Amino acid sequence: MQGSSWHYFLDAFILLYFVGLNGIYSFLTFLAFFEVRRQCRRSFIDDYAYLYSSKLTPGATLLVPAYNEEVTIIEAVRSHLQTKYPKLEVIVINDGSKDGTFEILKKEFELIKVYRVMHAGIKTKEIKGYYISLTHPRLVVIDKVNGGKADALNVGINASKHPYFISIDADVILEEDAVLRIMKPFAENPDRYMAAGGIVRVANGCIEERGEIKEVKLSQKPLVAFQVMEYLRTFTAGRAGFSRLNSLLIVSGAFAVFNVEEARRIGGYAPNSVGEDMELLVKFHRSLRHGKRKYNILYCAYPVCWTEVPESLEILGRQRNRWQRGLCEVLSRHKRMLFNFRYGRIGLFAMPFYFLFEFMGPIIELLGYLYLILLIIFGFVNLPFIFLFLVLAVLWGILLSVSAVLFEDLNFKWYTQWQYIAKLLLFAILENFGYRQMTAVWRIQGSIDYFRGKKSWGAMTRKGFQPAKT
Amino acid sequence: MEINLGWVALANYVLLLLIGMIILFIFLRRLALYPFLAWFERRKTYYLHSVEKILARSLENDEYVKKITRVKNLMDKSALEEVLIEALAAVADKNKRRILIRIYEETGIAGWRIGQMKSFNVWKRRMAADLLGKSQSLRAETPLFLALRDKDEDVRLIAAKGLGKLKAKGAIDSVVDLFKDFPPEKCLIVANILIDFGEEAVPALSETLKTPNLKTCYWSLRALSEIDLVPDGSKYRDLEEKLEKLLPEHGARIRAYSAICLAKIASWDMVGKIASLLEDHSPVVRAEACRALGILGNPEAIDRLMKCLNDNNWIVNYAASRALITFGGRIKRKLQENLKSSQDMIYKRSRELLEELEIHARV
Repeated sequence: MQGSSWHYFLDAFILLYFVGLNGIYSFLTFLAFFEVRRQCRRSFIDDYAYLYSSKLTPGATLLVPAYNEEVTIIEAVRSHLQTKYPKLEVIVINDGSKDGTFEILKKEFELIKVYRVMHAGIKTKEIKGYYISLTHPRLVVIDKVNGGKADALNVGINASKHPYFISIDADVILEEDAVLRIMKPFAENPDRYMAAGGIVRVANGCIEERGEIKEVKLSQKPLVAFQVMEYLRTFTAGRAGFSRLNSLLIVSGAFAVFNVEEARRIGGYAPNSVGEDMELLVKFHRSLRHGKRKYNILYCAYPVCWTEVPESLEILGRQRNRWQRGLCEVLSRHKRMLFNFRYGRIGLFAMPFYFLFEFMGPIIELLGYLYLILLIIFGFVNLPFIFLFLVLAVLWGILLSVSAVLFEDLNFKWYTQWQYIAKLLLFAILENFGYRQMTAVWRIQGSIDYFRGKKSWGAMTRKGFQPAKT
Repeated sequence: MEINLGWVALANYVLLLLIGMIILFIFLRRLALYPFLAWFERRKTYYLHSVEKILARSLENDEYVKKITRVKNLMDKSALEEVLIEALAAVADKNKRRILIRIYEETGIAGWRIGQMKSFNVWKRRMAADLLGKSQSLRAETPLFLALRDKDEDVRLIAAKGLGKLKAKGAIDSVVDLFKDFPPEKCLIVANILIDFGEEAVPALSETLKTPNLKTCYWSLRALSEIDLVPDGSKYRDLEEKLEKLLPEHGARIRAYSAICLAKIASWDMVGKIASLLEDHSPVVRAEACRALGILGNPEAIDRLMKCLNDNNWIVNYAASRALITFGGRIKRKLQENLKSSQDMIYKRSRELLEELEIHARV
């Protein structure tokens, strides 16, 4: 490139950043390949029937926070109650819903109010009532004053009678043996595993029947297909790679397991938090490292939960805004961990990664485009180089996405029809021309909103799952 | 900053090539696998119908079995094997299971898998051990027993599972020995296998309680704590003595599980010794002692358990309330008296228990 020393520095910075970002993603993808392969090969041999029938399997509590979920709550709860696990309790926490969520639950499951002693370790908003079901002994419903998702989950942690809790969203569907699979490491080695996250799949377009996904299909909507691609890349490649390094900082709140005792000890979820799942996990790391305990936080490649993703730009934008605010919140609260030797790989790799690439990434990307425009305006640009460099950036992104599709096809084969795979590959290419830039804008907006003090979640309109044809 | 355009162009070519190769691989793999998978499914369907016919008529005629399940090659064997293993998992009738196992043996599948147990490929040995165990063929017993000495940990574990499914009593001692070398995640599976053996595993597990190896002792206790032991006079006298000696052990979990095992086999006289653990400094021990007193069922423990309702540790006071509920209506009066207590947790737990008893009575 031509020009003076100031833009030598900028050029070098951009190049280093580009190589660093893509290099680390490639490294994580490389690690993920072995981790996912290892887990899938083990799951072939592992005998879940043993776990299911074993008296030594530890109990688990499914925590389902619900706020204005009347459209999907019954299907979701029915699905959770069918979950194959020997000692399972399902606690639905109605977080002051303004619609008919609680009334629908009360009628459907014949709830009666009882007096129950709950652990008082984590302070929460007022609880109106504790209900058990006459027809489903596994089910408990807690009605409380609205306090946000984190507060609802904290109530669930206080109420949990088992050593582990599984946080799930009210609108997700779990595969029948998803809990067995995700709980397996805890059953085998309770001293070592403190938390785990499972893979989240996109349910839009799939056929659902009685709380079960009967047929996996890829939605016709391009926006959904882009998100499917993104989820594949994030979960299958990204998180598996972090898990291999025992540096996982995010497990999706849609489906994650935590040790109850440790969660109570650290005060549970941060109230009024928008990134509560990441915040809790970082607190786990912080507390366990302080205590110099040997532990693992795992990403499980096989257990599956299905969730509905936004189908409109507006709702997707709100979601990505919230996620970015959540990230900013966590980085801000735990900034002492950044580049801190005391926290090992978390402080020296995972936290800096999220700061430099997830937080700063969209900002640097946007600045990069602006810088490019300025260079063109002032004539400091070598057009062939810029063109090739941009092509390189796009191709590298495509390679990572295409690798995620390969993982999916080699290990899981959820998308059985070749047309779906072809579509995913097409969207792996297309997402670089508009979709990624759009998410970068939303994320920057999220960062700005965080610094402005915005705390709200925003409304997420539910459509409900597509039923099977009769 | 001067960067050679050629390098950037080369990098682009390499990436493009990698992308192209991955995409091609995905489609070619599907194309190549599809006919095989389709053929495999067709053979499976054929064998499924054949096996269903045989089971429906409960036929054991050799010729008919051989004719209807003709197996030409290894692919056929794999397909038939899958059908048989699935059927064995689903079918409960003893006669039908016998027929399925016979087909497994007569069609040479058992021999094929037994041969694979000697393979250099560790994945083949693992797969073979797994399938032989699931086949429940008695011919698998000896090779699985030998596999307990395999150099690969997973092969040993899978062989132990197989022997558990076969209820091979002669292998119990060797399976218990696995506790010595296995990491905790595998010890859990071995403990489950021994639990499935039931009372037959008790002598071997009892022997390990004398061992200085704390890990083996702990896992043996865990297995013993879940086996359905039926005390019958002096049947478990020796085990009782060993467990009593473990009660003051310095390992908290060993103390805890010894109490549970003792409660299952001992007479009510043991209530004093188990109740002494309620003063233990470890909350795990106190909680398990509460559970043990609930299992023992001696009403003399009720007062001690009532005091534990006020324990500072949540898991202990919870365990005490779960133990008390096993006494049913006998605790009602004392719980009603507790409602006047000034101690918050005693009041709360008592109120909770009273309501629970009321609901049980109603329902």
